[in-house]
Amino acid sequence: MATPTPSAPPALSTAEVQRYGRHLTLPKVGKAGQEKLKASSVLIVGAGGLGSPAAMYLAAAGIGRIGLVDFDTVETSNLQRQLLHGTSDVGRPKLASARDRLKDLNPHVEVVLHETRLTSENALGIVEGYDIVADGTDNFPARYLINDACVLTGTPNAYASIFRFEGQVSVFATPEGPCYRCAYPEPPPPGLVPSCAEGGVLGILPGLVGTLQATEVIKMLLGIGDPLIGRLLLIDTLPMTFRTLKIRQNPDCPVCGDHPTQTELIDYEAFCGLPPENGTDDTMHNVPETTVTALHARREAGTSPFVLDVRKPREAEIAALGADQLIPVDELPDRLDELKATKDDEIVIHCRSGARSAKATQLLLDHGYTDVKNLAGGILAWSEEIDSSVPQY
Amino acid sequence: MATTTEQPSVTIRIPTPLRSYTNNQSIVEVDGATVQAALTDLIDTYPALKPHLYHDTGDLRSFVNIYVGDEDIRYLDGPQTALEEDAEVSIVPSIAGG
Amino acid sequence: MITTPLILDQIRRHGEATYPEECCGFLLGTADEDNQATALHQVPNRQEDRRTHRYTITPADYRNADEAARARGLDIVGMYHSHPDHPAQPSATDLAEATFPGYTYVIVSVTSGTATDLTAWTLAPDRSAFLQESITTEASAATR
Repeated sequence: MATPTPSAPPALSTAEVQRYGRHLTLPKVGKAGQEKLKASSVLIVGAGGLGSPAAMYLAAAGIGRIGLVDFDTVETSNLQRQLLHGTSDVGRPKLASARDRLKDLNPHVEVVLHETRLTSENALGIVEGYDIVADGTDNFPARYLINDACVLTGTPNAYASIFRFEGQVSVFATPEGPCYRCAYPEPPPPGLVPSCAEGGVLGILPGLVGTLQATEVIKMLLGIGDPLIGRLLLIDTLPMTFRTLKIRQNPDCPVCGDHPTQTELIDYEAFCGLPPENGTDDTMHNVPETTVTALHARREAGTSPFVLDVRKPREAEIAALGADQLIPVDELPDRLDELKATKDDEIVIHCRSGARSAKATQLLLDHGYTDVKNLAGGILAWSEEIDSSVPQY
Repeated sequence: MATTTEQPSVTIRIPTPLRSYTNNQSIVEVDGATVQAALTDLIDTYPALKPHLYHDTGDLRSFVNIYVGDEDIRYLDGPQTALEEDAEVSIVPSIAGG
Repeated sequence: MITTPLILDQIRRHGEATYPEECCGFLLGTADEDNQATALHQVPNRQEDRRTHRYTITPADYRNADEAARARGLDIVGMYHSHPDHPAQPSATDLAEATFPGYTYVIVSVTSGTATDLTAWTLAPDRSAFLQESITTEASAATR
């Protein structure tokens, strides 16, 4: 249903005619096009960097119903790029500030809030209520889940992703084109691609890429132009180049191929080689832990254990708690011989949140280090509970 | 439930927290030719309701309003308001505070 | 009670919007061992005067809220109101005017126009006092 054709498009009110004047005079849109937009619905997954410009422009453009899926609260570090949310929204649910912003932009738009994580259990039910999906998520399990849900429900997926200075945009899961799995049959190994928090991202980038994504949504809904079906747009902002790669539909694609082998949603965390979402904590609990309070007390008493930071050097420039040594977690297996602590020393490992350091803790234990503990909560907890002058990022 | 044959059968809508005293029923069927008779039948059937609706003195608690259809019985004939077969009686709280 | 971050945010915003007067409304959801609030139904403060210190919800507003709840397959599981420049603790008036044990009474304190503490209470079975309830938040289904 690339171009929904409602039986009787809703008429525009006088207020809407005034508001959408520049669309009404625009060739290929006009009154019929604007009525199509009013009759349309878009599901935006993620009210973050990409979802912000996409939701704001789609609301301003007069999409009839916009659904938002998110379950996070606004953090200060979001504000550099997530313009749906303002400084006074820090601590609020992202959906709350998003609704306020969108309703202010355009009260004619119905905003539906899905205050949940998209899962294999709820994705089909949520996606099938919309004409088109805009994937603004930041992780691979979510992208495969959204792709498969879109293919299974016949809902086109305007896809975008960002990484540091680069972005990608395409339109997947249309009847005539490939799906995300045709382009990326296999997820990258876990940990290979850092998240925004670890890898950093240019704040402007999601603004650029999310508006391209919204442009594709509008084109699809209106049935105009050439959407990025079968084409992957690659954006690199440093040389400022835009390239498109052709992507063909894979006849052997397990989801959209000629003989699909996967006809329902699966466990996407497992597919991407990650521990299950609710099992992440278990993994961290499986390694010995200590708390920021305990570490702080030991330091005050002058009996500090050896502290190893496993973040990237750039992260340590932003915020540090005075570690004895820094070795990034992905380099740790090859650099164990550089570790200044011995196998009998007491070692505490930290990162930003405690996730990477849990992996590092396990690694050292596996290599015969006897007294290794993960610092629960990492830099974030240190900033929260011990020293607020250490910035959270 | 009381089975006086000549009394009309009516329904009483129960506020959410009182349903724990009515076997989780939101609507209870009782018999009564008047509001008073219907409430008496309700209390006879579910005695644990009584302290929540009535003072020890036997008067309805001040925040408890009784509606028949869309009308507050204060503007009808009070507890003596007559009920017809299938009348819908509602227990409606007045809510206030500081 | 069990609810979602969005619902709590809506209550806070309602309290800020009506400041310095009290706001009020209903919690809609399902009543089990814990009341679960999945939607709100805002109502105007019908108190004639002193709306900075008192709130009143009329039976007509209750009946509308009850109808709205039933239309969505929900029940009224409680009420909320704000305490402008006053702690999020039940007042003597709240106790005197309390209705049935089993409802969740949410109180949000709004200090100088900004919502601060938010607490939940239930009337003791003997009506002698309000007992504090824990508030558990979890993401849930679609809300509008």
